[in-house]
Amino acid sequence: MTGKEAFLDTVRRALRRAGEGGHAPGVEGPSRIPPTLQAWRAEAERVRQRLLAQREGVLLRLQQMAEVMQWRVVRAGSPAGAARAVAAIAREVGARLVVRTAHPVFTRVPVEEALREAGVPCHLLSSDERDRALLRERAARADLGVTGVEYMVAETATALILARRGVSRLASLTPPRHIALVEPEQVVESLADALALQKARFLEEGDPGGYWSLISGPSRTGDIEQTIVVGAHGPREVYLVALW
Amino acid sequence: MVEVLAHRFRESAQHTLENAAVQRSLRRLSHFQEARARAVQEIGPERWEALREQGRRIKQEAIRRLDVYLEELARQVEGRGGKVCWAATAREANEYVLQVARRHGVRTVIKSKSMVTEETGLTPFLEAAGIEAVETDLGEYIIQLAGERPFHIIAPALHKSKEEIADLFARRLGAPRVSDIPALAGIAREVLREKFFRAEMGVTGVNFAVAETGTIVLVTNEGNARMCTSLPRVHVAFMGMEKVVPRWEDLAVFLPLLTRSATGQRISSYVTFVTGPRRADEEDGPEEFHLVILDNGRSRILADPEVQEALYCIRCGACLNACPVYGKVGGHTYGWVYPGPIGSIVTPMLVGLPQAADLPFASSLCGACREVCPLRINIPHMLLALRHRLVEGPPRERKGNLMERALMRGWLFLVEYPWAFTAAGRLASLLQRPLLRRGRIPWLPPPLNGWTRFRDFPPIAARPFRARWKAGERGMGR
Repeated sequence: MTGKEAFLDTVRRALRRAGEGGHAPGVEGPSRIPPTLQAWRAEAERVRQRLLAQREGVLLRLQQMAEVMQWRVVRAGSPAGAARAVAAIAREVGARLVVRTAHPVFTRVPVEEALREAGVPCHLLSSDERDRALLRERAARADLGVTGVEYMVAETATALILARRGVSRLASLTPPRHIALVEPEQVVESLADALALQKARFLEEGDPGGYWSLISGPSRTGDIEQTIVVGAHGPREVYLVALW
Repeated sequence: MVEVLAHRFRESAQHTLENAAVQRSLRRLSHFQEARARAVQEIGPERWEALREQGRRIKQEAIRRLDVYLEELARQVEGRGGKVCWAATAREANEYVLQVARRHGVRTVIKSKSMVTEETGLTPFLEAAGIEAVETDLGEYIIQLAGERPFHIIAPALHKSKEEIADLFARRLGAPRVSDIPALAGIAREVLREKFFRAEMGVTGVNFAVAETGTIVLVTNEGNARMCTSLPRVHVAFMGMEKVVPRWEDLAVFLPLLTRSATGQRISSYVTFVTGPRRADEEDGPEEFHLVILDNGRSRILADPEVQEALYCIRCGACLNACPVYGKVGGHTYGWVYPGPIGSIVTPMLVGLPQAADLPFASSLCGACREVCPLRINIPHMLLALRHRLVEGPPRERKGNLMERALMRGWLFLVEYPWAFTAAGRLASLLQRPLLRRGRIPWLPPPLNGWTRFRDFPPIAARPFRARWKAGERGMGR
């Protein structure tokens, strides 16, 4: 096996040889913001201020783009309205098993109660169950997954979901339908905004987050005759339930 | 490493040109081109050009300090509990994966799309070792069942019609013969779903690897890469060493460059950022994360200023879609893993120029590839550089045709001496007489018959242009 040093030596030798070929040495990084916590805190603050000032426009943009990207958008108006919207969707699609994550948004949106009233069983995909096999079995059997998001990008209608304690990777993946609950404060304009906010956290906490899923509409494939089919391996229907 | 068939370029091109079904499929490339053009229009040409410029500068920096960024990437991956394999060759990379698989008693491996594993031939390697390895991208799954190679970087089964796929599924999976496309996709979903839940190991490629955070980024539309990184106990990610980008925020530049160039999407349905194995308190995800960093000849490209830019490639496939040659000869003709204009540089550099000597010539140098390349890689320039080596380079790289060299020498002599040029013209116009058929030359004797196999040779005019010019013949130049 080639070790790290031998591998990197080959790379360095190659770079030196290319250098002899007349390359300009050491191009400096084109990043406009220096890699310090202070600089990125300031950048994150600028992003937040801008979003605050343009909130209405950004939310409108999200709504338009979400439809273009094939999200089914429900403006719930309030947390209670969002819970009712989830129950209505579950009934409409004839869901027999709903799974959800333990994202903080569920402390505000009483999804379980609303589903109970609708007569649809709902399980938390969580380690409280101790048993990973059970979690997988439920994720595989569920016909609807409900999750929160960390950020929602208006420009591309992209939900950013961080898997962690209480938030299974499977909740937004294996069921054929997925509902993302989105709060207005989570909406950012661009992917660059979301990455900037997260970069500041990374520099603060030393962790960019273990597993991010960026979701922009239903699962798709165009691999047969370039004809788009939804629901390849992931959900074929995705709902954006907006809390505002 | 997967077998090189690039020496059969001409034969294979001929074969594809005569295949009406494949020619029909190739016409669908225009969808990709139109989608890309719309995507550029939508974001606005100004913003698009700014992204390209930024992307190019970042790649330049990443490649010229590749050792630094690779070391940082590995440090970050290891710092989060991942393991790094430094593989100088395809064989080392494959063997590492097999070792990990054996250690975990792996019987089934699920794979998401990865050109690098195509390059190392990982799937057949694992299967030869008795491990079931299943491609899960629909296009890749189709060609795996058919026992073929990818036809296109992002649309591996572009050349297959839905009827062919229906036959294939019926034959190989015992599926009922349906030929509507959603039903076919549904069959694959069913079959693969079971394998996703059964597999002990997931293998993915890497679209970008962020040095700063040790994050690997996966871009898909189907969600198969999410499955491969969520369900199995072990995740192995494969990357060519050029995939590293310095910073987290660089992704805001490269993701739109990739998806808008590839399929014309603002962003793909899914983008996944993986940083290490599952965290201790996470609900699910793999317990082990391995990152295989592959050289396999890339250091030769790195050492070579004339072609170094080829390492900026993010494998979007836009140059394939734009290339008039690819559009006729298709992907298999290029005889290895990477087809099209970028393949015509990468393949000779990775497998050896003499083994792929036809590829640098498989271009009209029209420049369409450079025009659409999100990183503005100067492909035509590099093709010329490789051509130059084949003709005048060091003897081990040279693949000169002796006849062609002799003819070129002769030509050089003629254009240097006007009297010789005139005399040769006269002589040729006499010699051509027996070959003339209705003012054309439809056949030349060997070894010149290569020219007349597909087209006529224009005859030499009875009176040379210069004579007519001097005489001031009417109608000239109008």
